[in-house]
Amino acid sequence: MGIMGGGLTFKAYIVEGYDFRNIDYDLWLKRLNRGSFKPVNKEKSEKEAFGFSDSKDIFAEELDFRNTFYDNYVYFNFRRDTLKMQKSVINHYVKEIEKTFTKKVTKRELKEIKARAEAKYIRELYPTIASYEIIWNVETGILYFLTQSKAVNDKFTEWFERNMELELTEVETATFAATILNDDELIQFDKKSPSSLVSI
Amino acid sequence: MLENRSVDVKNMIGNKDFFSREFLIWLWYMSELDQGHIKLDDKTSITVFIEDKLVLEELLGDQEDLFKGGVPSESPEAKYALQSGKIIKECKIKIIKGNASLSEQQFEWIFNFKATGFNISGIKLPSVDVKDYKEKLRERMFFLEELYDYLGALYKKFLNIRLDKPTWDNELLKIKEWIGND
Repeated sequence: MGIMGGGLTFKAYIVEGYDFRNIDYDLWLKRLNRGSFKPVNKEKSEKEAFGFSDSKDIFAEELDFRNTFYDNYVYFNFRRDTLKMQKSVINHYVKEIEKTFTKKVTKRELKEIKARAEAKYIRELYPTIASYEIIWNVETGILYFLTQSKAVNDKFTEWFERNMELELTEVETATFAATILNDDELIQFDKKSPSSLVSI
Repeated sequence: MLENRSVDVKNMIGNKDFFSREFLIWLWYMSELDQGHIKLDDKTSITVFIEDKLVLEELLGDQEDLFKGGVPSESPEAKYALQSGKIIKECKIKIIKGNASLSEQQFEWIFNFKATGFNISGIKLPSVDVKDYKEKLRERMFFLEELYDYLGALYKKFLNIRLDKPTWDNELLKIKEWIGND
């Protein structure tokens, strides 16, 4: 299921802040690589990592120019790794550490024990890897992000805007209308209220 | 597209979904005129059906009617739900380009349309029979963007009617007559 086969489900965005007749693709590749995926840092007890990855190899450290730019399209992935911890395992480690205490543990000590248990657990965990395709037509300015998960879309849009220094606006009822209406029509669009077909 | 416009488009986000609800009812109405054949402003002819899935919801309240299988928009129960004041929450739409009776090659798109947010999903594109990676990518994107062109052209056709009061009043009468609420 994705760009290359099967059904397509995505959120579409309007990308603004560039002139498609004057694109510096090397600069864009630098910006994409600035936001490229970096693995979860277990030493810092991170539970999640995300970033851009190559369209053909999500494990590559950098995006490759030839795999990223096709005709008027920019094609890449948004990779998100998460460490999923089970409460029962954390509780088990907490109990193990508690056993090394001779006195009854205080609330403060319990907090520290939980942090140590989580850190121990994280070191043993492997991340769950997810990746979502992005295809962006730089001529029409429409970018398709192949998931409708709100949480992932929020992370992606924030990450994209920060690293690419461009603005994303979701295509929905009003923004889609704005792409097909002229200014006078858009004023009329804004003034209208629901008709008797969809109101009481 | 959104910058330097006559109105602040971003202020309208999330506040204009009544247009997509009206658009879906209008599309249902259009799909039953002339067997779903619709001529777009650029003279392209397409055929539009609501098929396999239709969900109507109350304007106030939580009750929904789900119609599944075949061509639910043709069922009397679905029309009755519309008569009783329910509106389309979501439906599955099929768009066909090309007329088989004129020996034209046919291309078909099927997708789910949710009125809230003009949200389309589960898009089945016309099949692409090429193996080359880049060529396949180009063809799949061509079909996806062609679908967006048709949706834009249909939405524009609707908005041309909707934004002009006398034209819309006249269309509304016809739609209500079709619904059976005249």
